[in-house]
Amino acid sequence: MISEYREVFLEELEEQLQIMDGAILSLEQEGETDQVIQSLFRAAHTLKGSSAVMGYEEMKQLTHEMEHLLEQVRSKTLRITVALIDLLFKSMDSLRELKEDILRDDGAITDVSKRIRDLQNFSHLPQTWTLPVATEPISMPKLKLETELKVQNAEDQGLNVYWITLQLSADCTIKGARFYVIYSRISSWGEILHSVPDIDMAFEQSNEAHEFQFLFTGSHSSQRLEELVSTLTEVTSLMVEPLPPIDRESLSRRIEAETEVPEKVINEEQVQKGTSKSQTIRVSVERLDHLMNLVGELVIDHTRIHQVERTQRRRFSDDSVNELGQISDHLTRIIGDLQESVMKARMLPIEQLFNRFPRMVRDLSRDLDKDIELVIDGKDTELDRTLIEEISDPLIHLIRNAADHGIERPEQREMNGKNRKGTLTIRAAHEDNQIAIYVEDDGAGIDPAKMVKSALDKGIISAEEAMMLSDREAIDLIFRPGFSTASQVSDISGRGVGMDIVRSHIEKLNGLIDIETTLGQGTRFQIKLPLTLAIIVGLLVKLHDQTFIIPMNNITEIVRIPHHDIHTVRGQSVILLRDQIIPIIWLHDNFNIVRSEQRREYIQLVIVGSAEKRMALAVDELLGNQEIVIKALGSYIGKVDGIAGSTILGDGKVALILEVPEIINHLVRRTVM
Amino acid sequence: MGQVQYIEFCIDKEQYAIGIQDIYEIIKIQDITQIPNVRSYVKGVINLRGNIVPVISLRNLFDLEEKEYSKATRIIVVHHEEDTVGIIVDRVNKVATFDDIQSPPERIGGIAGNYFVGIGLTDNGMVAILKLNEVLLREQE
Repeated sequence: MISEYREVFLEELEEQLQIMDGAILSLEQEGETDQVIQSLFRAAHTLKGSSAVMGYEEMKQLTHEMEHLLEQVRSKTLRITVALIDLLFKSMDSLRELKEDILRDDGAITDVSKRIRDLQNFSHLPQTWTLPVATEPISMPKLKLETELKVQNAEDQGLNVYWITLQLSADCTIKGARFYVIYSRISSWGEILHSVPDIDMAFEQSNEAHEFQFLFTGSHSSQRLEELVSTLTEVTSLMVEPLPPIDRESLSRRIEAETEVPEKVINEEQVQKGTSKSQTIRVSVERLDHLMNLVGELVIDHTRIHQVERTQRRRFSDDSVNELGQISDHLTRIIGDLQESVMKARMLPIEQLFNRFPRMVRDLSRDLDKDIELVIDGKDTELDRTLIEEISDPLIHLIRNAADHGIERPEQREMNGKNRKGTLTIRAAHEDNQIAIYVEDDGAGIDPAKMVKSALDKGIISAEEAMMLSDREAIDLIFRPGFSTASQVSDISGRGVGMDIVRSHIEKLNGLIDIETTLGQGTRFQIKLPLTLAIIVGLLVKLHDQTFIIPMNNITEIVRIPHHDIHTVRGQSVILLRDQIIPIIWLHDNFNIVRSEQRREYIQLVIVGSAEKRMALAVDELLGNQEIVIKALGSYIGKVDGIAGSTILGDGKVALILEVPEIINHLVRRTVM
Repeated sequence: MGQVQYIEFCIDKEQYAIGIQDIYEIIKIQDITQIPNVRSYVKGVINLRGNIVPVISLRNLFDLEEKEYSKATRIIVVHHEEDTVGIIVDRVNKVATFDDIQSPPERIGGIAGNYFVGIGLTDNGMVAILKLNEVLLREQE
C-alpha cells in the first residue's frame, strides 16, 4: 500500500521541485512578481503537506521552513536578495538529496538540520544586497480578467479609477483588523474592484503586511480622494494614482480566448503559464510495454499477410485476391495508427528533462565565473520515456562541456569582439521521423591543431597517424577514449567521463552523435535518436544467402563503388569518401559466411557509425528497408557479438539485427590487427 | 496410477526418449536462421508462431556425424527454465512407457552417462532417457 503511494508521492515531488526550480530562477532573473512567489509558496506548502503524510520528517521540516520564509516574502516583510535566492537554491539541493534518499529506500537520510537552521536564521540576518526588482518597488498587481472588465464598465460609466496605496505605521498592532476597517471606509466612497491583500484572505495574510493597495472606482477626483483617505488613522503614507487606460483591444481578445475554451479558465494562473492539465490517468510503464509488444506482433503478422497476398496475386488473379489486398491495405493503415497511438502513449515532452538545465547552467556559470545565457527550444518535443531517462546523462555532460570548455570568459569574449554573455542553446525537434537534439554554444570552437597535439601528448595517436589526420578527423578525436582537452581537470567536466562514454551511450540507444565546430565561433553537437526503442526501421541486406538487418539509425549513407576504388592500408581495405578514409568490413569473415567471390564490377557499401568512427560494411545485396520489431534472442543463446537481436520477416523467417556500435568498436579491432 | 510417458525418438539407429511433461510440441524441420559465433551444436533460431526459439542438434552435441535433414526430421520443442528450446532429432517414433528403467552406465557409446536419467528396456531394445537439464545446460560451461 505505502509503496504505491510512494510512487505517486515521488512523481508529485519531482513535479513540485521543477516548479520551484523554475520559480526561483525566474525570481533571480526577472525579479519578483506576486505570481511567482505565490507559486513557489504553494509548491512548498504542497510538499510540506504530502511529505508529512508520508512520514518524511526531514522533508517536512525543510519545506516548512521554506514556506515560512516565503510567507514573509509574500507579505513583503522580506525582500528578495541574492543571499535569499542562494539559500532557496541550496534548500532545493537538500530536497533533491532527500528525494534520492527516498528513492534508494535504504533508511539512510541526509542530514539537513544545518539547512533548516540556515532557513530559520535567515530572516534575522542583515540583508545587504538587494536584487534589482524588475517592477517598481510598489508594483501594481496584475489584474484578473473579470476585474479588468469591471474597470472597463466603470470607465464606460464615466467614473474614475485609481490605485490607492497606503502604508500603516509600523507600531500598528492588529493590522488585519485595521485593513478591514480601512476597506469598509473606502468602499463607502465608491467601489473597491480589487485589493492587495485580497479581502477574503486578509486575516491570513495581512497581519504581517503593512502596505495595502486598493483599486477604487468612484466619482471623486484624486485630490478629494487623497483628502478622504488621509482622514484614516494610523496611515503613514498614501498615494493615489489613476489607473493607466486599459488596452481594450487586447482585453477583448483575451475574453474571446478564454470563452472559447471555458474548461481551461478554471485556474487562471495555469492558463497563463500554459500548463493547463488535460484529463489524464497514470498507467504503469509495464502495461504500455505490453501493449507495444502486442503491436509488434501485429506488425509482424501483417508483413506476413502482405507477403502471402503478393504470392497469391502471382498465382491467381480473382476477386478474392483483390479483396485480400484491400483488407491488407486497410490493416496497414490501422496498424500504423495503432502503433503511433501506443508510441505516443509512451511519449513525454522532453520538457521534463530540459527543465533541469536552467538551474544547472546557472550554477555552472557562477562556478566558472562566466556569463552564460541558456536558450531552450523545442521543450514540447515528445520522445519515448525510456529515451528521456537514458539521454539525460549524455546531455548533462555536453552542457557541462560547452560551459566549461566551449564558452570563453567574459573578458576573453570581449577581446574577441563578442558579446560578454555567451549563449548556450539546447534544442529538440522531430526531424525525418527521428528525434534531433542540439547542444550549441557560441564559444571558442575546437582547434584541430590543439586536438592533434593533445592526442599525441596523451599517446592516443601515433605521430604517423597524426600526420594523416584531416581537420575533420582531428576534431573527431574528441570521441576517442581517454581524451579530454581541458588542460587541467576541472570540477565541472573532468569527472573521468569522456566524450567516448557519451557517444557509446547514445549509440546504445541506436542513436548517432555528430559534431560541427568553427574556430572562434562555436561548437554544435547533434544527437539523433529513434522515436522509440521497440520498433525500428531497418535496412535488409544479404550476406551470401543470409539476411541481416542494419538499423537505419546507424546508417549514414549507402554507396556503390567500383572495385578498383578500394585501397589497402596496412592490410586493411579502405575507401576514400569525401576526404575521409573509411575502413571496409567484410562481416562475412566475422560471421563465418562465404564471401561471394564472384568479382562483380561494383561493390555495395553501407556506411555506418558517426564522427571519426565510420565504417563501410560490405554487403552482397540490398533488399530494401522495412519496419521491424526487435526480439531478443533469449537467455539460452545469450549475448552474441555484433548481434543486437532478431526479428521476423514477412516470409516468416528470422533475421538477425546487427549491433553496429559493437561491430565498429570490437569486431573491427580484431580484423584490423 | 499412470505410468510416466515418454516420447521416443531416433538418432541414427539409437533410440532416445524425453519425458512427455517437458515437451511443449513437436514440429517439422523449419527454416533455421544461423547465428554466428555460438556454440557449435546451437543450429540457430526459428520462428515459432512469433516467438524466437533456439534450436540445438543432438547429433552435434553427441559428436555424431552431420546428416541432411529429411522428411522425418523433427524438432522437439521443450521447456527449459524460462526458455523454450528446440531439439533436432532424426525421427520421432512413438509415445512410450517403460516398465523397467535401469540406472545409466558411465558411458553409452561415446556419450557421457550423466546426460541420461536411465535406460529404459523395451521389446525393441534399449532406450536412453535424456536428462534435459544436463543436455541443455551444457552450454553454460
